[in-house]
Amino acid sequence: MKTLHTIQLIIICLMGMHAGCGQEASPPSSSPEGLVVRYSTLSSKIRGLDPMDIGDTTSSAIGGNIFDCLYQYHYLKRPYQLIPNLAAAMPTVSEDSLTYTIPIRDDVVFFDDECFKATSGKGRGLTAADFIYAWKRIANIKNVSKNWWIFDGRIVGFDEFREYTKTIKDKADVDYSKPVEGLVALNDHLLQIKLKKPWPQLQFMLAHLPTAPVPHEAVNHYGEEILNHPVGTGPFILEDWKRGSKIILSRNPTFRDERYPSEGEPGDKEAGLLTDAGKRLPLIDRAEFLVIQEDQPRWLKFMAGDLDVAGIPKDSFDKVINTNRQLTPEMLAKGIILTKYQTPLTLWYGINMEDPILGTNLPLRRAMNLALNRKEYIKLFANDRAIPARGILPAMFGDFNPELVSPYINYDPQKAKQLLVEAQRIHGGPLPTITMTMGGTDSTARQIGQYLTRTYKAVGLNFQVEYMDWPTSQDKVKNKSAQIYAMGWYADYPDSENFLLLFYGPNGSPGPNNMNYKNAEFDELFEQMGTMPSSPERKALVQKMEQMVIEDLPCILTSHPIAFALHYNWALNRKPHVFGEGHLKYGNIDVERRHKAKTG
Amino acid sequence: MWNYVVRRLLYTPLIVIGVLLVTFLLFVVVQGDLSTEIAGRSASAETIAEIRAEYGWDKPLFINIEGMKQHGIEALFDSQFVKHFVDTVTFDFGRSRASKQRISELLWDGAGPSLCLTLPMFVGLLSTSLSIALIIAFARGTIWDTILVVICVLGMSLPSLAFILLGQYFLAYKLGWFPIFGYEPGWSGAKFLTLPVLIGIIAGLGSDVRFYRTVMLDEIRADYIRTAYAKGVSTRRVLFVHLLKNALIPVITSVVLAIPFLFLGSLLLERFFGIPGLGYMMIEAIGNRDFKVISAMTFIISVLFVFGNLATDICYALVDPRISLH
Amino acid sequence: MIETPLIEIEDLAISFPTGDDRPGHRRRVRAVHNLNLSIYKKQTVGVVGESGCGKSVTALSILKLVPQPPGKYESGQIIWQDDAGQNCNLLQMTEKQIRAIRGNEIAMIFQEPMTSLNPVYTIGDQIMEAILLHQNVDRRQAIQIAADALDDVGIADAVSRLKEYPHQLSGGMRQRVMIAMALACQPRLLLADEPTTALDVTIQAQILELLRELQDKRGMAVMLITHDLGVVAENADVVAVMYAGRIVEYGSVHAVFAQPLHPYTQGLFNSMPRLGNQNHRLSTIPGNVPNPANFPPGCPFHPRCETVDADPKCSSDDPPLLEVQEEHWVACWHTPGYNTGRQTRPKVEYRREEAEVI
Repeated sequence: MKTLHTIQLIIICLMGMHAGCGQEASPPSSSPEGLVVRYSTLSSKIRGLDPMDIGDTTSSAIGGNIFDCLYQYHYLKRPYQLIPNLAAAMPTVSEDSLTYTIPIRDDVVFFDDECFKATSGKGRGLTAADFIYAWKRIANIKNVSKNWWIFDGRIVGFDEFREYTKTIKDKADVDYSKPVEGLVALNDHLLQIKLKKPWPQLQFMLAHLPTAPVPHEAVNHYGEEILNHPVGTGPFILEDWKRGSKIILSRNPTFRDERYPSEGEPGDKEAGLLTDAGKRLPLIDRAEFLVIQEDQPRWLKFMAGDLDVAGIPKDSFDKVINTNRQLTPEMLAKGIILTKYQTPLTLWYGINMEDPILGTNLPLRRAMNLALNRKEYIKLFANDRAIPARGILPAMFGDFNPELVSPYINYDPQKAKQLLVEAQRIHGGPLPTITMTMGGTDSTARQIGQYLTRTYKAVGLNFQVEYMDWPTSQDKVKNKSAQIYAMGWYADYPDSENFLLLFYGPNGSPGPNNMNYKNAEFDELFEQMGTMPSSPERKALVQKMEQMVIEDLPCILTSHPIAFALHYNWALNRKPHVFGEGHLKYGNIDVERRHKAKTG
Repeated sequence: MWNYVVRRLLYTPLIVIGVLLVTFLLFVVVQGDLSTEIAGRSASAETIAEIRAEYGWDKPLFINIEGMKQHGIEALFDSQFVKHFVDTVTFDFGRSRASKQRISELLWDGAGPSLCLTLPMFVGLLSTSLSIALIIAFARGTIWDTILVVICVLGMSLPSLAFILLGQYFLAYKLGWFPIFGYEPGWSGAKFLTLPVLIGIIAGLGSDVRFYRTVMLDEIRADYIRTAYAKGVSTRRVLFVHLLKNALIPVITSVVLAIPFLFLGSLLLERFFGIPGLGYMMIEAIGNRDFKVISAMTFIISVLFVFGNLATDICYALVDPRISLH
Repeated sequence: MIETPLIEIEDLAISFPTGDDRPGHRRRVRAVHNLNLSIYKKQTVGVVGESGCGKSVTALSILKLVPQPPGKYESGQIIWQDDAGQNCNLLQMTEKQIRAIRGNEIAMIFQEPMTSLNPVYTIGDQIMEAILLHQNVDRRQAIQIAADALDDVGIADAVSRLKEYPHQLSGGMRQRVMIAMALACQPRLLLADEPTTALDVTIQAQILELLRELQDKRGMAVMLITHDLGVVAENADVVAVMYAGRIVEYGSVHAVFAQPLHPYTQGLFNSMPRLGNQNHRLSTIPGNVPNPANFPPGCPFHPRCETVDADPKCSSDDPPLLEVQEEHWVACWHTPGYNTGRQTRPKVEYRREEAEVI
């Protein structure tokens, strides 16, 4: 889950940095020893590479190429589709939707590593037990993993295992062989999962990096230092890691036989995305990631041809993109290609429904939605790189409702003024000043704050902004003392459930429903929908729920950002991909062309 | 003097306890509980209680009366602060809460690059600005003095970010004299460090030269300078022998107080030129509420400060015979 | 045979900016104006005047120590007779040449012994600096010479004193150290700029006594700058009274003390306490020393002059220094015999006999 803060998100989007293109690549002139090397950047330092603890996008961007999960998203097909990765096939689901049986490939081995003492360093074969072991590590309370939410209350006997770990004093004494009824290795290559109640989203979880298998040999050998010694099954191994500065991945020589996909969406062939069809992955030998946290050096490195891929820094936007929203001739001449794509991201200003002034005053919340000129807001603060939000779901979601219309989610200051009169009546007197909690003190935060203050002054609502650092603002949101605050949600997986859970009553603060929206009918539908597999009925249910939210308006919806990313024409097989990690294996580099371009 | 040094060193534990106590109060007591944040989505009261127990946050802050009642007197000190204090002073900083990396390793890995950047910068800045200040002091009242002072004021009024942006754009990107970005340990890293060091020196010159110029001008009007000239001493010798040693006292103050911060690196330069130092670590740690990291850094800096102050006093005594340490 | 002066200052003029930097107001004023003065070997010339009259600048100009800028030599020359009897103009010397003179041929001591020594070096280092600079000796010999110099100025236990720092010495001791430092290289001319002003009275007498002794012993000339006529009376052979950058009266100590001609000199004498005249109130010269930035036109002293009633000439024409009596020069329109005075360079070869008291 990535609860993001609007301002951070806007900045991230301006830079073209998000999960989908976190693994930006970048190329200097020639490859050493004739290898195909890809040069790229990370926008922040990576923390550690233990799947159990991975939570941040940067660590995921690296870890996703070292570790594999049972399933992965098809690289080219849209809408996004899960395909087997370490699994040999899609799971067999029992009649009651509670038992999943997953066959596991028998040609997968872990990296060669000194931790495999029995085989003198040779990586051993992957078994079903490795998954159960990895997940038990997450369950072990002594490990304080942030990823327990994945399994919390889902799998038969697993919560009991967690309870058991609480009784153990020393982390080292936790017995991982203790059976869990719902997690069984039927044989070395057959894994069975039993759920407490139907949970179709399980399949997405099995494509989520923290569920990647980890060999117990590595954990025993490296202890806590496992986070610096990743032993996975993925296409790349960690060759070098200069903390805070550089990460080098190189081809895993024992990687199984995986091939570049042979089919995609219409247009992919024409775009050259199928040129490498059927070739063995990974296509490159090496990938170097520089940690560059500032715009200017990243941009200059890209301009110098030292990077394959970049976002567009805010300050250079006008130089790069012309008024027709296309690349400027200067950029085209350099062989730069622009990709624009939607992200599974919605931004809004959350309203604390437990606030005595706002929570009970629907006309006030409507008026606040009506007073905001979203087009202007997007132009001012996102370089026009977003579409105004009309609902919660971004258009890429299968459940997106193109007909969804609310009379209150558009710009109509006159109507807002009228509604404020009614709001006053409900409040029983003049409305007090509404205070926004802004988690940022930089100039962008202040500009946004001033803009919103002006916006609401214009319709006669007293509005003020309190600026503070991000953690402090998060605290205020979590302890329900914030009235209005910037929020956003970047979906973890392409299922509407991931957005709707933000409005589910029991998820209230400090859970993800920080608006503390409570609607008994919605909650009932959510529980019902959560156990349903994809179907037209489910879609109807989702759309009904979305409608309920925009009726009650526990937020001021703003926008769905659109990402702009650049790459040089020698970086091949670039297709925006917004779910999952580990797409490095598909990328290719035209080393010749890069060399020519760089040597003129 | 040794008496004095020993006495001062005996104060160190007191200062360290004070510093640890203040950071502890600020970050543990004031900021409250992080267990909900750690629990993430599965933030049930039960999980939170477990997490608190895991991190020892369920223990009393200072003294454990309950523990003593149950387990005897030795349990009295089974408290958060005592554990924190013992861990810190034994340099067992533990692991960062945010990244789970070993803090001593983070510090060790970061201190090298930071010092590679800040030490040459510091030495370069100090010698350059002292020399320029001496030249100005010698040329006082002439057009050169005016020109240099105007340049200094201009330099001071430009934010260092401007020097970084311009330097990186023109010298590294346009002219290609330096690499744009990067770092390597050892001598091969010198090419990466040259530009940031230069920029650091140039960005700092304005204020340093102005400060040292004032110091020098105060001294150059002194009677002993006239005496030296009257003896037939050359200008160079007057400046570097007579004036400099007298001017060293204010210089030492500013220099020694700066040294602990060298260890912290330079935030902007490190970020813009990709030097994996400690410059951003403190800010990141505050953002992440990574109390152990903050506390470890505060501890090291305060210890460096204590020694820095002692070094200042010793330097004073070495430079100025009128000062004696008792 | 006519003796050649050891040093002869001719028509010296030194200017400074007024410090007023407003456009249109920038101008320079003369701190020393057409100054002529000669010092013969073994002679003591007392230069008397109130502070700001240009005495110190004159002394500093001899060593080219007037800071340039802001100071500027407008005109004149300072002829120095070197060891070989050759005349040379100090003002024309290069930096390197003049450095060889400073502290070696011509030494200088200052008013403030408390601050004129470098506080961070031992007095030994400071004395030796000049010795090592000007004499071809090694460090060991330099230590000996420095110790001797301290001995000469009456500091006991000289060798161990060399290791002391200025702050460990009293004011009088420091001035002795200054003198030792100045005399370590056996200079032929000593410029003593108010050497005793900052010291208390008993010490003053000791220091002056010491200076006299050393002068006799070494046979050097002294330019003794003071505002104290008593000091002049006891030490000087020749007196130059300065006012507003000019010499207003010049002559042997006998001539000037017997018959002060200039109203300013007379004012100085009247403001001097005398024994046996205790009931008489000391008179003061009314008004203030004019600011160099704002010298009055005509005779610079005329606004304060009480002897003469308003004479338009005094406020319009600056009187030149004329020899009105044999070896007695004055610059005042109202001095008897001024009309017939001769325009000559002021030179007096007179040296008083030992123990001669005035």
